Amino acid sequence: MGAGRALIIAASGFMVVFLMLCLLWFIIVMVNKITMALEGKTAEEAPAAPVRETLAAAEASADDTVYGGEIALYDVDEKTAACIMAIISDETKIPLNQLIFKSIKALN
Amino acid sequence: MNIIDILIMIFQESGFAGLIEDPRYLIMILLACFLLYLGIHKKYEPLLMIPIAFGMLLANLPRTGITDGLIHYLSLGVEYGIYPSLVFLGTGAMTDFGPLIANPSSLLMGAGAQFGIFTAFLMALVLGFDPKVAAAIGVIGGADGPTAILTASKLAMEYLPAIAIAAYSYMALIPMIQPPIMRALTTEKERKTVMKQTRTVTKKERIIFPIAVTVFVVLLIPDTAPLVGLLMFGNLLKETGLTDRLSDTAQNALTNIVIIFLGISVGAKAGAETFLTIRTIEIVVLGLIAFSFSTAGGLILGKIMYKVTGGKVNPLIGSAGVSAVPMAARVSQIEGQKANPNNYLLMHAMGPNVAGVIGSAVAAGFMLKIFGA
Repeated sequence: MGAGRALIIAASGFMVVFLMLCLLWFIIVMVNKITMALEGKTAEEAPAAPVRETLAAAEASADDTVYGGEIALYDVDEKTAACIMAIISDETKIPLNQLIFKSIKALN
Repeated sequence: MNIIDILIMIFQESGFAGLIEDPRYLIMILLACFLLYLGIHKKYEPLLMIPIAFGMLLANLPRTGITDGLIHYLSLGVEYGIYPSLVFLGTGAMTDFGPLIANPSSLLMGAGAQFGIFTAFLMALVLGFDPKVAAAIGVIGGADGPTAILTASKLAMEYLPAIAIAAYSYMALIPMIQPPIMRALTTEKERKTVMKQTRTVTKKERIIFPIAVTVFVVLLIPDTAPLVGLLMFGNLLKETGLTDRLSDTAQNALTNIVIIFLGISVGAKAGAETFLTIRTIEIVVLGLIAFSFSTAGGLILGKIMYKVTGGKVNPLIGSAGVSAVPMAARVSQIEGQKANPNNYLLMHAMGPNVAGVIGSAVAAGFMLKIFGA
């Protein structure tokens, strides 16, 4: 085999490898764009579900919060009582709709 | 006939008499023992080195006739290119192409790291090798054992053992061969580059990737079908999540069985007549050159990407483009951490690393296309 032909084969082989892997790069980018577009559509349609879920959860919590109006407050305004209930819920890691407050009394 | 005559007859028909008749067998036995030492004691790619060395040992024990029986039938898997393809099936099932999909520009480094294949091809021609043999020798630079074996089995069967042993030896020596080249071709500042975390790859992308690669690569270079096709099939089995049993078999049982057959068949091809020649030494030297040039090619592409991206790519990951999954990526990680202890390059280096597997398969397919006819 002549030197010229050998060089041409080596150069073209290296070029083929490069072109093939560049083509794969393009394919990966295209696949990514297509899947992102599909995911994007899904994401646009998706908010309906979380909203529905949030509403359902809110309704459920509203149903559960039947004790809200029965709490007895002694020398405590409603705003302070709400803060105390929120702090207790946070500290005990128990959701507010599962906590039962019977009374909150200010101590002197 | 007395006892002495019987003992003499047993000796004359024994392998010991064969060793005295042709001392080259003894050299091959010693060489096989040396390779066993490398595999067992030095832990150089033991999964393949030990079967290859033992195959060599068996084939060079005179008067066994084993190469005409069992080994002959096992070798058909090498001759027909069945074993390398099945190893690729297992490799595909074990490989995570996620880092490559997340950062597809790493394909360029995988391509650059095939430079050694074509350099060694030219050098082999200069040394007077037949073009087919030169092509098979060049593929050692891909640092991919099954690809080197498949190419050699189709283009240079007589040199298959030397090519396979050179390929696996250098793959095992990556932690010694690559670091000096990496340090020589990169600056301290480049090596310290910290790369940003790559994006998350969706399951859809992971599933589409092997199908798309198979279609496009095999359509363009049909000779890559046995390697790329099986590699991607194995990967699809893994990524669908629906064929766990098949993926598990491909990764473990099948790969282990094939490696035993492949190793012992390749080793048994190393007969004294063909192996103990100056050509074997030349192949081993050319393999080292191919490996070094491939490492340099990947690093140079890494440096170009460092410049182009304004210092966002650490060039050290380029050397991982020489296939040898995941050893080459680990070397990039180690060298990166030496320069900057907060550098975590492993996942970034896996991109060029798996790109190198595809790149070397494409290069081998090209060689088979040109010289296979």
